[in-house]
Amino acid sequence: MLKPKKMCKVTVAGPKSIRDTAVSFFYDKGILHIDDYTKPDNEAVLDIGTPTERASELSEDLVKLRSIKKHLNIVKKNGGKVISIDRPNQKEISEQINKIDAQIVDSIDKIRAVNDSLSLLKAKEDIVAPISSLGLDWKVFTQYDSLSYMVGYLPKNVDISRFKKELSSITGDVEMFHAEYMGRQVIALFVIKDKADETSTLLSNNSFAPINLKCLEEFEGKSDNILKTIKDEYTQLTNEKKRLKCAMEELGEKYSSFIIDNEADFSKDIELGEVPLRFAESTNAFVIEGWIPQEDFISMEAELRKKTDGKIYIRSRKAVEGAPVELKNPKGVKPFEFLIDLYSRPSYGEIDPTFFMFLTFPLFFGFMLGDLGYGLLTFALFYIIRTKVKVAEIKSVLSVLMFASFMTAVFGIVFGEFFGAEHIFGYHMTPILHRLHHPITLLNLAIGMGVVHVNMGLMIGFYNMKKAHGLKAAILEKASWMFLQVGGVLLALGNMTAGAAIMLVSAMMITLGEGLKGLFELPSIVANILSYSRLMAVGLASAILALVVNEMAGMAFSAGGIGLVVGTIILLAGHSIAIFLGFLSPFIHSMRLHYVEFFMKFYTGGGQKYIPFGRRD
Amino acid sequence: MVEPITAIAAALAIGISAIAAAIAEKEIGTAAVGAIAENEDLFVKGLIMTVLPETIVLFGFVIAYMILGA
Amino acid sequence: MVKNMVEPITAIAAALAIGISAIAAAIAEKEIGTAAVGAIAENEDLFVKGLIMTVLPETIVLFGFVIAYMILGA
Repeated sequence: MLKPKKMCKVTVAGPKSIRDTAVSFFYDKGILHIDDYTKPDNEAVLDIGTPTERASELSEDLVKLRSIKKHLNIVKKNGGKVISIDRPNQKEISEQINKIDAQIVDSIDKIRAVNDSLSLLKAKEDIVAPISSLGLDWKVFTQYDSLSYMVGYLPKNVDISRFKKELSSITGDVEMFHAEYMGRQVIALFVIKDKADETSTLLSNNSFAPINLKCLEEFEGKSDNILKTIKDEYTQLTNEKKRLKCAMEELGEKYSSFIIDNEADFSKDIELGEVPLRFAESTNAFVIEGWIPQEDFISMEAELRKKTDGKIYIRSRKAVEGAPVELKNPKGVKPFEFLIDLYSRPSYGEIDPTFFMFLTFPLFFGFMLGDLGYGLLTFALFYIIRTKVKVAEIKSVLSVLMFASFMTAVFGIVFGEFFGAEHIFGYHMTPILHRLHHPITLLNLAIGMGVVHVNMGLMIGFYNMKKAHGLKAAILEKASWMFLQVGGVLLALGNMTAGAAIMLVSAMMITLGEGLKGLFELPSIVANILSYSRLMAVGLASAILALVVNEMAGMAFSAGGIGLVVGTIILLAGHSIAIFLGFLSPFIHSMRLHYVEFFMKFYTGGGQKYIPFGRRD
Repeated sequence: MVEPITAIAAALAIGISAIAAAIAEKEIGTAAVGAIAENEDLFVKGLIMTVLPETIVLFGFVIAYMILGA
Repeated sequence: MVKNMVEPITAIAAALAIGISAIAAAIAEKEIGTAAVGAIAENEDLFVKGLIMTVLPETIVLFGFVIAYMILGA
């Protein structure tokens, strides 16, 4: 529990004839963590292995399958009716995949074409509609011998009557139509050719935006009819698009299990087929290097030998460097591993702090939140949610929160707080320590826990250092800090000479052990311990918050009448917020105390995750 | 009852530390949201980083409370 | 809490003690925190180191808190 699982470094080798047997064996067992082989230089005898042919074939099909899955929006449904597909050979599956793929590509192209047509239509509509609002026939816009015409928009702020006046001052040989279209002013001007330029100038002075009619040369007849034609075509195309999309959905429904099942099978076969890329191979043999947990090794060895008729070569040795790390913790402690993983896996030789976190994380949490009511409520809540959730990681988080809730309830009894009040529906609780009345005691407790926690960290660090670098290093780098604290305490108690002397000696040890930077960090031990005062601060804050909610509700209740309703709302809303904050804050602060103040005293981390090759359920 | 100047003191205590915590959390929170936009897995870590400055206002709160001697 | 008869100006002093150090700590943490988040976005393994760096200035407000506490004579 205090150390990660012991690993054996193994070498497995044999003739290529038994390679696939060995591979499926390890896949099913799911215990071998492979060290990928890299070719050291060009002259090396062994190269990386070649994937099976099947794997390469499958890769292509898998890619197609995945793209089909995406286009058809296929999602694995739990508990859906599984149509068992008898497995035709690979060739047939491949053909089926290609067929589906082709259909999809076809549909997508068709949809795209329809979308293009629709956009084009919309553009045309944008031109025809304003013209039709002018009530003009299309034929009006042709080349004239003596007239020029301009069609377009005038900004809203242009006053039409004023514009007409200005126009008439240029010439009387002009005809203007105007209308409103979608909140904008549309005008069509027909003016005698020699006055065209002046008119243009007037128009541009008024921010005239012309409409280009060129694309509509194909149209004939009244604008209204044209508009109707466009709208009809639009509707027709939209329906076509809907049809195509429906067809795709049906396709998806029909083949969804085909696709999902095959994707799973392919993935597995490809993984099996491509794993030789991680081995070393020669023309006739293969070599695998990896790690297997010690406890699994012996049974594995016997079984593998039998499966390969003794042709396999297996060698194991104890090693530390490069070993993957798999934590080994009993069921109660295990959920806390996710907190460790959030930070970093322990490196192979050092102590696994999960157990310590199991002890102190809920402790700090409970100390800070400390309310019987909140604790019981959240414990029940998290328990219920946990039974409904399937994902393992979320289950761990919920377990951790359940432990935290439990300790919260315990401290709730100690502090005599039940939803912020001192009595449970009339039964008066006698607190062992009333938080709001004795903040000093609270602070002292917090600092006390800080001292204990920090020194726990130092002691673990001492053990780790001793193991890795010997007794002297351990004393100089870890024990020295503990002596420093002793000296400091003596000094504070008034024993000047002894205190100062011990502190000086400790400082020297630290400098010897950690160098000059160690010396600069001397004050940090004070800061680290003081950091634990947050246990008191957060604790007080949560107690105060609950109290205030109750007081506010109390004021509402005593007002009577509607006050009862208001008061209840305050209670519900207030305590919900208090619980939410009450979980966020202590969680983060407890975590932070562990990650920063505790871990920094001994933790290296950086361990490699244990990822065995093979079947995962 | 609380003397006026004492009340101001309490207000300053909580107010100034609130501004402080807010300034810190705002910056970190913005960066965190940007990171999450690029990679949704970073949500938890981003959240943790963002609320780290909470301690600051917490201390202000406690001092304000103690000032009020309530 | 114990009924604490605090002189008004003393109270202001405590407020200033915590308030100003709070701003200080916040300014520091905000800069470091932002940079840390940027680093984490590029490499998730840096979460821990980033976190530690970000909370380093906490000491600042911590000392402010202790002094404010002592000012209030508790």
